[in-house]
Amino acid sequence: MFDPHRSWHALSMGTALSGLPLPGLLIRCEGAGGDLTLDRLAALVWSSAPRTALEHDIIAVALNDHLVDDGLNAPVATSSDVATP
Amino acid sequence: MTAAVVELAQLLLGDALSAYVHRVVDIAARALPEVDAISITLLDDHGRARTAAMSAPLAALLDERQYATGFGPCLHAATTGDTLQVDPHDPAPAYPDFAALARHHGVKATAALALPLPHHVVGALNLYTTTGPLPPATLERAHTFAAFAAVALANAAAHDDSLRMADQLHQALASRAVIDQAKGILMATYGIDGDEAFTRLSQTSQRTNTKLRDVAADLVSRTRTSNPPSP
Repeated sequence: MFDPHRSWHALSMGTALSGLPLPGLLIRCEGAGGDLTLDRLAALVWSSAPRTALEHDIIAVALNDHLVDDGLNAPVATSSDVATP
Repeated sequence: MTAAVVELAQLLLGDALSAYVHRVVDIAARALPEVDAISITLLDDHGRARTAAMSAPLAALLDERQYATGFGPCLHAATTGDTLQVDPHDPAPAYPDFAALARHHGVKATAALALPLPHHVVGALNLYTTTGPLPPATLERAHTFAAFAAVALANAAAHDDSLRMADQLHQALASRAVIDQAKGILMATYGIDGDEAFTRLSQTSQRTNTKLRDVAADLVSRTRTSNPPSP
């Protein structure tokens, strides 16, 4: 089962690692096919608010695509990797 | 000084930010001819300082030493909004390492003036002279110039941010189009919904350490050449 706390941890760590401001991340989420608002994105990245696996994956993809440019190996886990242990 | 302020106001927001800052320094150099080297320190979104433009290499050399050590008059001015004068020949200068380097290069006086806005500081205007102390009248003119330059630079930075955001949006729209095409191919091929198609693409992206849009573009390309899709 998808775990919002583990999702939050993965996304907040990835956002901090990327150095992206939230508006920049929001644009990248749009590019990945997302339809988030800035408030919703902030809630997903900076809190353990309930979320869907798809929302997690869109943000994870947006972060990983940015971090791959920095030479990192797609470090943000996808939803299947943040399931309840 | 009036001519310099008028010239600042007439600078057009068309060029890249770096070219704009160079023009601001050129105007400062003409407005303050008694100053041998002038530079502008700008802070990025993370508070990191860089010399965005200078009128002589000496300014960049002395600025860069401050960034490397993490402290110095221009960093102080850019982060606190204060004006700081350092006399390199003062027996107990505020920044001994910086003063020693300035002395070594024949600098007689330095001043770092904040580029202030109502709610934050844009950076610093840095002055270096090799001929003698900075006269109070020069400092006063520099303060006036800095106040107008701060507004001009803030506007230029905002304009630059808007251009960058427009470019990012353009890229995002292009990326989204190809991802939607790839999702459609997977939905038609495997009879899955859009969310499942996205999950498969994102898992392939992470597993192969490849950007999602590249995974999607590859799938679209292979489909167009009639090879069966694999994600």
